[in-house]
Amino acid sequence: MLAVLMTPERWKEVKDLFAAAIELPADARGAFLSAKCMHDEELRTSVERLLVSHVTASDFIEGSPVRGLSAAVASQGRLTGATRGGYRLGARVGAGGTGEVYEGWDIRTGRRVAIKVLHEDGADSARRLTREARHALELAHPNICEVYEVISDDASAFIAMEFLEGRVLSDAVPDGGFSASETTDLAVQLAEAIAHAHAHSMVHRDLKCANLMLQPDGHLKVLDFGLSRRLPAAVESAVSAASMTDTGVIAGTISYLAPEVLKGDRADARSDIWACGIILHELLTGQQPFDGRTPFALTSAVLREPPHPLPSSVPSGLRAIRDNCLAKDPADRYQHGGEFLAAIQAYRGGGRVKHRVRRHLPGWIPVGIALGAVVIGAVAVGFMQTERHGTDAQRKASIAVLQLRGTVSGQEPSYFSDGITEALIARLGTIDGIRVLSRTSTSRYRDVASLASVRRELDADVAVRGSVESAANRVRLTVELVDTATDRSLWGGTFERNANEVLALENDAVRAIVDHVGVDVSPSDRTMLRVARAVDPVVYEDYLKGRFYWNKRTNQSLEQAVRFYQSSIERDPTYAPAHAALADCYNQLGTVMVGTASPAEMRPRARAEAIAAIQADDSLAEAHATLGYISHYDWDWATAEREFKRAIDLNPNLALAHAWYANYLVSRRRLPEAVIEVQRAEQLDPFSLVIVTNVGWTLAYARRPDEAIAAYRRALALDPGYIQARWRLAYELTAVGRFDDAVAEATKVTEVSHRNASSLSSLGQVYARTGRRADAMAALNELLELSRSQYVSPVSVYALYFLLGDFDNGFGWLEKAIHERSNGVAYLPVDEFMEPVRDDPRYRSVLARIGLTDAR
Amino acid sequence: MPGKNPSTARITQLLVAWSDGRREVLEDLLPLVYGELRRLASRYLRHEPADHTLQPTALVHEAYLRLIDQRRVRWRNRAHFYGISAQIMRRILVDHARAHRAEKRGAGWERIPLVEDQAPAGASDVDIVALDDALGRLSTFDPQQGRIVELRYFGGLTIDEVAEIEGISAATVVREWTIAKAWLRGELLR
Repeated sequence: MLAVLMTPERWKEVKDLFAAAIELPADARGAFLSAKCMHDEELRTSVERLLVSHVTASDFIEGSPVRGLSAAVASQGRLTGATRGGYRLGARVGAGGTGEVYEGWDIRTGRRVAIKVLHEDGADSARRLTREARHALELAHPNICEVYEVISDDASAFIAMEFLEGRVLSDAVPDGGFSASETTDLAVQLAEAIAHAHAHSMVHRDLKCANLMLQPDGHLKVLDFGLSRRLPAAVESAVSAASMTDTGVIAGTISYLAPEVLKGDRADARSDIWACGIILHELLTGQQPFDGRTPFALTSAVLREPPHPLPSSVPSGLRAIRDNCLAKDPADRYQHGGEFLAAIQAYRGGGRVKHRVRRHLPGWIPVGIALGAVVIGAVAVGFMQTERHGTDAQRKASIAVLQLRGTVSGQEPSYFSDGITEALIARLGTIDGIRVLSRTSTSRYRDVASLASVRRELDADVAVRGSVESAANRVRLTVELVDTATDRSLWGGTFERNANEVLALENDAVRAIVDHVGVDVSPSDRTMLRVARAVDPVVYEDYLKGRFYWNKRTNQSLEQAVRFYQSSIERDPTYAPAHAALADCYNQLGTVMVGTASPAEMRPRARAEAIAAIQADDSLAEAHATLGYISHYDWDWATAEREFKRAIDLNPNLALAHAWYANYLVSRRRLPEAVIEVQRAEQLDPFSLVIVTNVGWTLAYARRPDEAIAAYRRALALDPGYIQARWRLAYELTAVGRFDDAVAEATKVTEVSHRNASSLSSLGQVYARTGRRADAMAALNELLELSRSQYVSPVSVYALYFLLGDFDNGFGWLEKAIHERSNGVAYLPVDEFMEPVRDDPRYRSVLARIGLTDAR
Repeated sequence: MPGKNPSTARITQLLVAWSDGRREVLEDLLPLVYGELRRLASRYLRHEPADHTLQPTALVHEAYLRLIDQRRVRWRNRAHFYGISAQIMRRILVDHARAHRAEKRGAGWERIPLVEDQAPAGASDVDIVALDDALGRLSTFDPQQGRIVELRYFGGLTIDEVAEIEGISAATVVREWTIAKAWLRGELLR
């Protein structure tokens, strides 16, 4: 392709242009190169090729060349090059008792995985194994090799899991064993994993040094959880086979088995503890605690002999732990991983934990004393979860994600850190079992030093704070979990990825957050968190810029947001969030930009974008909520209901979805349900003016005026200048007979609003409701006068006509509203001013046209 | 240091002299270092071929401890030792890869493209033979970039160490390294 040979001089030109271009924003590079290269297309092509390669080169050759070597020396397995269930299989990297292991890639995300191919020995076996392995999907712990997916067909099963680098412990133990402190470090990690699994009712059954991976940084990972159900059968055959004299195989299978298992009892948590004792002995000495040249001799030793003594250099504390684990009677051992962990931590000196902060939760979770665990300083989170299952009356954990600080190279605005904050909130929100506060509510706490107010005002147990850095095509996210009751840090972590993997990066952080908050994450939620598509950094950046301007909610900023979203979509039409966000913009423009865009014009565009978003990603809650919103005001009631439910199902913490669904329920006269939904929205976003005002408005329709007034006052306490709440308050005061107050409020609002259309309508409605008909007529005339020179929403006119009893004109303006598809039309079935005309044939005809023949 | 080579004093002397600018001693120094590194590398690659995390620096450091008398050298000398070791590691690793490739070819195995286009570069294996070829081409028009890649990738050296050896600023190393990576990435994707 590159036929022309590069010369040093030419290369220098290319390098200089590349170095200059890379400093520019991506969208400015084209123009820069055009200017610099003039008609030298070849030069331009060289630089452009380099810029393109650069995008994917950030990690390239940053690792060890020994890995490069492995590509050349990798052994070819039977399935190398094959595709299985969305994974491409590469080199075979291992083979063991349960199957072969291949290196592989997730075709969808490009993520590197290890694929374990279980030996194919019949459909039943495959089914049983996959059933077991699926349990392992629920285990998420830093010391347990993560299982991503279990794929099975009729004859075989594949397990996609975390690709780990390092050595199995059986190869890593030095001849004389590790030192006591090294052993302790490893044993704590092992105990943490086992405690976590036991708390989730998972027993490993095949713990051995060959199933423990030691990573280069000293991190230990337990492999093969959920794969070992078949063990008893294997043992039986191994023990009975007289021909089986290979001591290596025997050591690998039998020597970790507890006496009760050898006698034919079912393996339980305590037999895992036995295996931990064997492992501990091996770590300390490099030797097995029991010998036997034949299966029979070994079995006999395990059943009857004491283990070999430990060298005198081994501290007595570790010695005692090993002895406990290797008690012949399971009743004499630690009863589960939690006790083992507590003992090993006590030995190490209580709370002195090296690389992970103990996950101690704020007071809303009872401590697991009831389980009889020896509790020292802190309790493994798993046991708290067990305890929670026991009582089950606990409320959901409540999390406030505070505004992340951003240090982004260049002087770009805070759109990046804002956007990532918002994304974390959205992603956390999709997890069942936690309450996540919305950003409008949490962004107020950007600079608050003490978290007491976060706890008090937002009712949040845990705050997430942190920072995001982006430089040189890498994004780094640092998050910290803080107990709002004590201001104490519960956990902190840093995550880093390439810029095109920023969605996966957000998932990394969310996974860690939920794990450390101790929430039980359902398998389906967990799967969602594992799926993250790659996204072009420019596409994501444009999207985040769009969000930045959207959040300002002014007419100009909405238009800017539209431009950024469109640019994002242009570059990657499959990026669903940009479509959904654009749909929201169109909806807003249809209501906010009075005079330039009517709903009838904007809504089809919004609908098209919402549908495009769903087509690109059916699991995007925001897109379904937006389609629900559009369908509601398009009088497509069935679709609206379905879409709102889907949105809430996907993300129960999406405040706007609850609020919009409440609006829909108001339209359908299902007021008690509407109140519940809108109050749920307020819990999630207590500082959103729109939502708090909607609470009042819904309560007003539900004929609960005192509570409605209280809600409006809450909104006004947040922002006394919020006009919507103020004029609704004025209107509602008429419902409790406080006419003078109502008129005073309405007059004030009208003046503040410079007597604009909606304020005149409100004023007129208040006058009408308080019996001041002449004043109401005057307001109506002023409104009609205004409508001759500018756009006036027909809803504000027909409401006033109906209130004044002028039904002919009321229906006339209603006709206009229907033609425009104004939002207000959807509320005709509950609007009080329509009461006198409910039996009017014109009203019935209107209802039929908006698809509501079932309403009275 | 146990197992220290009897020629330690001589090798140390050569290294110090070479670091002080006496380029001609390289011819004597290279074979001595090469022998030790190859011995370490083949031992390692025979026993633990699956450990992808092994950094050449680990081998080079082991060789350094065995060959050089620590009392008589400064940090600069060490950097220069690592510098020549990078060339040697490149040769050893590429030879090793070529040998295996030939073996596999003999067994009728075609190389299979393992990586989908969308796989991030860092997650994929580098074809070390192809990289070596591309690096050879790069060196024809930018010898310094070629050396920087050799030192960083095959030698496992840090930016600062490379800057020291090449006598340029760390910022320049970063710039050249970034560009070289992009170019090589492009070449390997062709």
